[in-house]
Amino acid sequence: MIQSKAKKIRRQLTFVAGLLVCLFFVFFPFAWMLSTSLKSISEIWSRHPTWIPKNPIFRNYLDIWKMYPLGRYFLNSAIVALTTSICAVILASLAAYGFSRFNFKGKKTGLIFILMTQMFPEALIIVPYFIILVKLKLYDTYPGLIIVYTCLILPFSVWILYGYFKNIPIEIEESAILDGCSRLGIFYHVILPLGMPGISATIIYSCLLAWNEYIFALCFTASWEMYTVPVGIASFMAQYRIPWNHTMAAGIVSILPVLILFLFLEKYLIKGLTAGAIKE
Amino acid sequence: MIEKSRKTRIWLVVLMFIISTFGYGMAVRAEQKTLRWMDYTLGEEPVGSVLRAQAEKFMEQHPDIQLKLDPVRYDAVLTKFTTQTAAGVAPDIVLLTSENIAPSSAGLVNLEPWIDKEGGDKFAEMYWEKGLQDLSYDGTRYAIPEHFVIHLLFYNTTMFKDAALEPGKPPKTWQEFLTYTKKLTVDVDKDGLTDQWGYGLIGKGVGGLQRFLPWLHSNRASLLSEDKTRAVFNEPNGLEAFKFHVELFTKHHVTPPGTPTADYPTVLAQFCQERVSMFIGGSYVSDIILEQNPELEGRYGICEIPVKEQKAAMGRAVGYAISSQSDYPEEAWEFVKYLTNTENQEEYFKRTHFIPAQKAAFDTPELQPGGTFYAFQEVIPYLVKFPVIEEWGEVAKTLCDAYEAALMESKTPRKALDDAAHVVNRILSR
Amino acid sequence: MYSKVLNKLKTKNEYIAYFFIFPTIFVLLIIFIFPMFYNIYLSFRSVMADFSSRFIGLENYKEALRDPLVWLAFKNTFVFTLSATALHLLVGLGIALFLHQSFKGRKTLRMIMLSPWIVSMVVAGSIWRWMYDPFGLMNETLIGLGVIDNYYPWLSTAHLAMPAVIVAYTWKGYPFVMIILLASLQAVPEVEYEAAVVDGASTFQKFRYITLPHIKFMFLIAALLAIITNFKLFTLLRIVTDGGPANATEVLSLHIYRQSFEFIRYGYAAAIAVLMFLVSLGLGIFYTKVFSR
Repeated sequence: MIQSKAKKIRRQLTFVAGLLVCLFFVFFPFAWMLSTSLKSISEIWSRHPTWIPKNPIFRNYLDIWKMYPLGRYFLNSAIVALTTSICAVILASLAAYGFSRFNFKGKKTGLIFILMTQMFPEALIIVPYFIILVKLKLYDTYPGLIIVYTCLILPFSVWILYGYFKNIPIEIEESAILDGCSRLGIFYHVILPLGMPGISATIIYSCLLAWNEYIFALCFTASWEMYTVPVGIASFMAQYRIPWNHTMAAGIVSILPVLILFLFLEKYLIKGLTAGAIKE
Repeated sequence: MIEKSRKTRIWLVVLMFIISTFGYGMAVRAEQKTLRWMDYTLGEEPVGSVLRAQAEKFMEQHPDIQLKLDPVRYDAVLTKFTTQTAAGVAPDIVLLTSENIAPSSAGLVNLEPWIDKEGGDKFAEMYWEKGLQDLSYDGTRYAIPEHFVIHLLFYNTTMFKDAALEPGKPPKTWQEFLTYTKKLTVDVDKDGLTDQWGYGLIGKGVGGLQRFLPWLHSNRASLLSEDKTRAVFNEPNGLEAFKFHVELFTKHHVTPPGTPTADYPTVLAQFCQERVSMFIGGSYVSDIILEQNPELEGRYGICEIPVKEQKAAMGRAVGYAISSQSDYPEEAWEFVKYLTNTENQEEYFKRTHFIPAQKAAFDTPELQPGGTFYAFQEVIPYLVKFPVIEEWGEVAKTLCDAYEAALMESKTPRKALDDAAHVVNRILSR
Repeated sequence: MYSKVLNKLKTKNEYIAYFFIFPTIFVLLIIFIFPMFYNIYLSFRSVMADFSSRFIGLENYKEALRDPLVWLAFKNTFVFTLSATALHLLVGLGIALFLHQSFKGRKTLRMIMLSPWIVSMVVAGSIWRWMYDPFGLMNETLIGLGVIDNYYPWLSTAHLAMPAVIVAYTWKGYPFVMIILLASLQAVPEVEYEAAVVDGASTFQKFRYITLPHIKFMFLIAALLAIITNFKLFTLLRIVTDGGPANATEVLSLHIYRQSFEFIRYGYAAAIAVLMFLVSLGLGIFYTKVFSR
């Protein structure tokens, strides 16, 4: 009796300990970000950094919008992210459907090819992309970035959706065909609604990529009016001074839109990501 | 399932959204003449604000000209300019440091005919000769100087007093420098940990290299041979200077931990935190110091770099060049002249304390004998700077690696320099 | 009746299939194959700043194979990839196992544990670089806790910089592995656990004989994806150390970028990139062969 109670307490203690370790591990950089974002420049560099700022400067969160064109960066990132995810969903779901429902010549090659493209280091494709964009007069424009990001996210999206679509039972399509539906109609009315989790996962991934991506945005934009959020925040760190407080404040603010999107679509994320793959 | 018509409407909206995005992205450029202005100082404060205000006024005076500001990072200027030039989308006006002129020269407008049109020598004489020289390559002037970056030694007078050193007598020789820094490296709060160091040595990157350069030249050594075909920094004089510098950290411990990767903002912050007593910086730093630690006002001095055999200080001009791809070179030239005209130069110095390039702007008391910044003017005859070669990017990285390696003691100073010389010679002989 | 419909679904479809996959494949061909071949083309040439070039055969490759920096970059990349992957898997598995138990607030905790993934590499890199400053949070905390006795120069000591970056990256990257493993843990049939309890199995035995075999497949998939991603990681390293100090963390992706954009040697960089791709391809093939499904 006593033994099992002791065991129970030990279990609970290990559980709580584990919980605290997890939370601490995840949170302390965020906490430090928050702390730094509320300090003045002179306090950041004080001799003994403290967790709680002496005089919290909430104005930092206003200043970042006034002193830097952060609003413009957000707008750019939003436009690029939204359009990228729409394009990626359209192209990837079409392709995933094709791969999952049909057996055709070159299917296996196609799938392997898609996986292989994941291995391309960015450094390998920056210069060629750069030349293509310039030749097409898409350098330093929205479509330029959108096209690049769509291409980057396409392989992974196809993979996720392929796995997900494969698990949609073919019987549903059969009854749709019996009802006189065309192929495209099946795709549109049956597969898409059922594949929402996978599609949500694709949307999240595309938005995440477009919102957070740095190196391509850095190389393919020329003026501050086209900078995306990561490039913009990185540009805060100048040659003579690094305004950590503004950088951290902007960093925190930049997480919010993605966080909101995440909260909405989170329940689809895990299902969409692995439902198909597990069955393999 | 949503009914067909509503779904169709949704798709239509989506389609329109995509089309409008693409359309907006490829929007027709304004009827105005657009000049793209690439300038790394636009991202700094207070310089950025000053320049933006000046640009506003210019656009008011020239309603048909639209300026597009491009605040690249300092270390990305050369990269962005050369790649954009190669791609045919170069900015119209670009701020270049002297060592970036050579690698970029193929894409820059030769300014000689433009200067001649303005009156040739009469125009050029407005600026310090050194400024125009710094921004030339192969005898051709490519940029009009806007300011000089000159580095001198800053020191904390309160710490001097606390260490029983006279604030009016900063170190003049290497030996004195060593003695001073040792005295200034103390454990202030007596907790067993050193928390104040004599010198804030910048180990990282080109910034660190820049501050080492005057020490090298002070010992009658240099980085490359006269004809710039081989490395000579590993010769005895160079090695001696290098060893002295590196040993400040590795042997005498008069610089703080983290020196090998300490960059300019870090050391500047350490000076403001009153963790280091001395550092090498430029004139514009005074505003940043006051921003980070207002209590330091009046408690620091500026003096020349300590001497071994001869006086030396790092300094070179930074100026505006025009791209040969510019659609509006005349308008670009107008803007360049405007930014570097006397009135703007005076304002520029007053609000940012960058050393101006126009002689007329030196009429202010701060730059006259007795003024806070006179030391910067005094040292102009002894200025040294990086060699102007096309492969500077790669050579610089090799030297920086050697510097960091020696500071981390993963190589001895001698080996670091010899290895670097080997690589540099290989680069130069390509 | 059904078989007829099935046949209809399956036969008259070669062309329709192509219609579905065509846009994607077209895009990928143009945007992956073309750059790939263009890059290979560049690697056999000496390319100037204005993209003019001349053919020089295998010179770039010969130089790359002789260049100690390139070998160092390979070594650093391997060390980084293997250590980071191992750490991600360990941490990811640990947290996934923890989150797999049922307790109140589990869904919220799951969201919280996913959060480092949402942050951009730029922001994550900046905060970690700031924390690793010799007078920054890391040292202050560790000194305060009595773990270390002096200011450790994390990012300016050759043998500390790599581990430091790997820790920072682990914080950022474990959610990806965690999610995959969590999903696969949820697919393990409860009945087996119940049967094991009846048989008197310990926690460890349950893990070893039930959990592991079931998640083995996804674990290997996660590992493969992690290896591929970590091998080419760029942004985080660029922000935190930029290859420093003195090339201690100079990985291939950084080095290729540097050669291209800082030294303006596009041809040489292209050659190194091709080598890097071949190695990662080889790794991928080797991995799938060894752990063939």
